[in-house]
Amino acid sequence: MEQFITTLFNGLSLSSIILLTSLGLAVTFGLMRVINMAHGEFVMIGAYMTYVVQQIFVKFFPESVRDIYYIVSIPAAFGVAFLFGSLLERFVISRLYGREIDSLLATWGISLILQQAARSIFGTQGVNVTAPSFLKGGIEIGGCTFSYNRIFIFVMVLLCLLMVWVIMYKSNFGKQMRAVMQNRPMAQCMGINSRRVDNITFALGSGLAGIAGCSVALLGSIDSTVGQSYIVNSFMAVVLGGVGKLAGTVLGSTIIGSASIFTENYTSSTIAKAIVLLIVIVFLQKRPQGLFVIKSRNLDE
Amino acid sequence: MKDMLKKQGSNICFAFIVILLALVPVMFSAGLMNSSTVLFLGKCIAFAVVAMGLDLIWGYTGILSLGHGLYFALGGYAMAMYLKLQSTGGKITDFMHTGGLEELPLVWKPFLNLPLSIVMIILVPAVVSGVIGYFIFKSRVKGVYFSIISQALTWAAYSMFIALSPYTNGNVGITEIKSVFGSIKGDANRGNMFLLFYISLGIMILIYALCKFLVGRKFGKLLIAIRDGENRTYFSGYRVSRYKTFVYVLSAVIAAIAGAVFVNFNGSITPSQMTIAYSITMVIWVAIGGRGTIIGAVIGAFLINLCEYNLSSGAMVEIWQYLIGALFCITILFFKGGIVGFVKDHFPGDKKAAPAAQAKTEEAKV
Repeated sequence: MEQFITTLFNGLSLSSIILLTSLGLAVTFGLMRVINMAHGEFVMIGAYMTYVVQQIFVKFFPESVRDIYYIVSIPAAFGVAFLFGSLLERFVISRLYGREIDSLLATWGISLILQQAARSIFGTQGVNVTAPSFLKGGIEIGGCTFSYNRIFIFVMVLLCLLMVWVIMYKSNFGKQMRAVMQNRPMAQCMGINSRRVDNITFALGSGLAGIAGCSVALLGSIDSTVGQSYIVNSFMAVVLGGVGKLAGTVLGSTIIGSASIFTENYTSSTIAKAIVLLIVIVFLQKRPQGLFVIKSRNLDE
Repeated sequence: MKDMLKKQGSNICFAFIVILLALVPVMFSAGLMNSSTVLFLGKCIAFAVVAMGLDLIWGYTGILSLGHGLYFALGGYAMAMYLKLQSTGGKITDFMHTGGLEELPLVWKPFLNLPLSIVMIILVPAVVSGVIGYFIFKSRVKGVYFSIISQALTWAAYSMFIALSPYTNGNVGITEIKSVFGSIKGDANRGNMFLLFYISLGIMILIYALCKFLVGRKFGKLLIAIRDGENRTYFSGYRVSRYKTFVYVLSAVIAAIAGAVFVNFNGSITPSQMTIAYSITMVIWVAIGGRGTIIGAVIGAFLINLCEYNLSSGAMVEIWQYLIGALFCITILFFKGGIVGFVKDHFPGDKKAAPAAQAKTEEAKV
């Protein structure tokens, strides 16, 4: 029982990181029909930003305030990833509308460049972030330990999810975004600046990946391939959950995250990967478009 | 004459490449080339073969597989297992000892003799891709969804090959093997090396002929029809999923053959040949050479690898990574047809073909 709860907790923790990375993927794919292979590199950017902010704090600030670095690094990671995302959309993605497969390949080229840039700047060796003191340790309930940093990640993801929900469903911008997603030409006729909507949405998705990078930094060492290990799972979550609906992405990442942790716990990490893949393929037999689909009579969608 | 050049352009180009390659052993004998370059060109032949298979499925049918490294490695491992058993004389290998195995595992048994090994090289990838392809294409998963699944498949297989280390030697892979014709290292074994090189060249010519044969008739037109309008092809009464599965299996088998050729020249096979990155590198060759042309795949594979061979050592290794990333990105963004497409657009032999190509790219954008 205790083991089960610990596994469940770890599963939720992995799911929440996958959720953060797949949110951006799902929304950009739903909006622009563009798959961003460089998304994992935004996770990497976020993680390295955490490291940079920590280094700055170690250098310039007294010991007593050093723990705040982590709080500062979250908006910093978001901001930098947002900026990179906006630039990437402006110069590359915007030329690839509707060319799904080509967008996947072009962004792979970007991902190669970003990875090499990280290696040139930070070296090939992984760097480590020391968790702030308030995230060390954990609480113990009935024999299960819940580490603070995983709880913190979980809460942070919930907050991000809430933010995305408010933006998507309660704000004027979100209304425009959903309109463009459902019918681009019609939305343009209504005077929505779809180029701007695309750009901001893409940048927001990248920013979320940056925040995911912050949480990844807490869990292990950071190197140029840190994003890659999460990105395959995120892609699967998007495929499973379907695009364009928040609920689909949440459900997709929860299934992928929990399934891989549970199978990993009772078998091995190798078999877990195979089983997760199997689950996705079986699901797709029934629902080739994913669990949640925006209903459309368009044949080629 | 000009007309013939236009029509047979790709074949002439291919013949040119073949003649150049055929001269390689001669140049080596004359001392103009060192043996590692010859071995490298042998690997390039294998890369060109796998690129042609990828071109069939991606360039012609529009299915982007990000997992052909898996089939390449499956063929490579099958070949390597046979060669390893040759060098141990059918006894169990060192890494099996370390892994706690007492006798040759059942999966290694078929690789004791050559004909059965060759059957396995073709059969294993065919079955794997057949099963996967059947279920995926039947449920009409397409576009990037398929790419993502194929990527995950490679990922899962990769970690499986690492985990099953008593059978596959994990990360290290199968090393210290000779080629099918015996050792190819050193002056004494020059004959073996030449034999291997020419046989590989023959395989490349055969695969090229097969691909050209397939795309030159109705089957090829159908593949293009699937690429440009899958639903319309369905409505015309074709079982698209069967064609797709067939092409997927075919290209997987071609990749496996390429892998088997590769192992002979490389002398080892590791799981890094079945990573996602390696699989996408193969797509890069096809994209830069020119998709949907077969010859483009060959040109791309040779060109990119030759550049990498000459550039990616010492101080250039960093720049090479930037260069290949940028090159790939720019090709996809601005030169959709790759090198071959660029040449076709800028030197249009007959006026009719050029606007047609233009219209095709316009249509693809919509």
